[in-house]
Amino acid sequence: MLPELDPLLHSQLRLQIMSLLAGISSAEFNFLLEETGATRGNVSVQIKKLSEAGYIKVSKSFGESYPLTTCNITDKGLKAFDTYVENISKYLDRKKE
Amino acid sequence: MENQITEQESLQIIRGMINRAKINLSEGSIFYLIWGWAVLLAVVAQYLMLTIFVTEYHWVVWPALMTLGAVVSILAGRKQSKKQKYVTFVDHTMGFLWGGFVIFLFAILLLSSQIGWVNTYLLIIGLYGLGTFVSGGVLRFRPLIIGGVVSLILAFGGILAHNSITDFTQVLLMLGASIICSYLIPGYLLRAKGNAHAA
Repeated sequence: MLPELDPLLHSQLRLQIMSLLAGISSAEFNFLLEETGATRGNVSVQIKKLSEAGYIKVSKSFGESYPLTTCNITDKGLKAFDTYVENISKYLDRKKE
Repeated sequence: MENQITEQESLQIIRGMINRAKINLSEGSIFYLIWGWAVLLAVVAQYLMLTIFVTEYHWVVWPALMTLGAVVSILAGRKQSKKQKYVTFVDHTMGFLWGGFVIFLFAILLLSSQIGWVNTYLLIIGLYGLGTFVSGGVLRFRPLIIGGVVSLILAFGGILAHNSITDFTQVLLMLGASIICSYLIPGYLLRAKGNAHAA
């Protein structure tokens, strides 16, 4: 039987955000915005969901004269992401058979 | 609204997004060049003040040029962090490495009155070597690794041949050689590699 895919990660924008954060130490909100190509509101909502699940940590600070939002993936998030990638591979392997 | 995706699309998203952040070699090289030139200028100035101009204030060049180096580095770091909207694991590792380097450098300087300036400089050469050796490994950049090895050999050789060092200017020349090999040459090569990548 195939494992269930994490519903929090099995969504285009949230998966984009998690994939971006998995490869780096931390990223500013604007980097996520530019790379995903999504709207500011949509990225904000998905970041909030990931943060509430404990998958990412959101820090707010002040830049030169503007508020700065920085995100980084947590250990829990990285583990969930690894499990998701593993499960996706199992699904695709099964399809090939 | 959330887009439903297939497993195949998931994999494509992961492949497309992961490792999107690039390590900017060219911008990282600026710190090797700032400190390379600051230390080399201090070495040359102190050497000249010891051998030609002969003054007891030969040490003054160090706090002056190191302060200047720190100010320029902070400004360069600020400029970079404004441009770069993410921190890679390499940046993170480098921050810890050079942070630890500065702390230990101060520890060596605090000990200088007890161990003498020849030993102090030898330890600093070793510390330069360690810093560039590790950062070369992290960046997978061979000239930095080689430069680090050269400085480590100079420090180790200096410690072994400690009794042969009869004049302070000898260790000053060793420090000059160390900074050229482990900071300046790799710094320029790193910048050239970064520019070639960006082109």
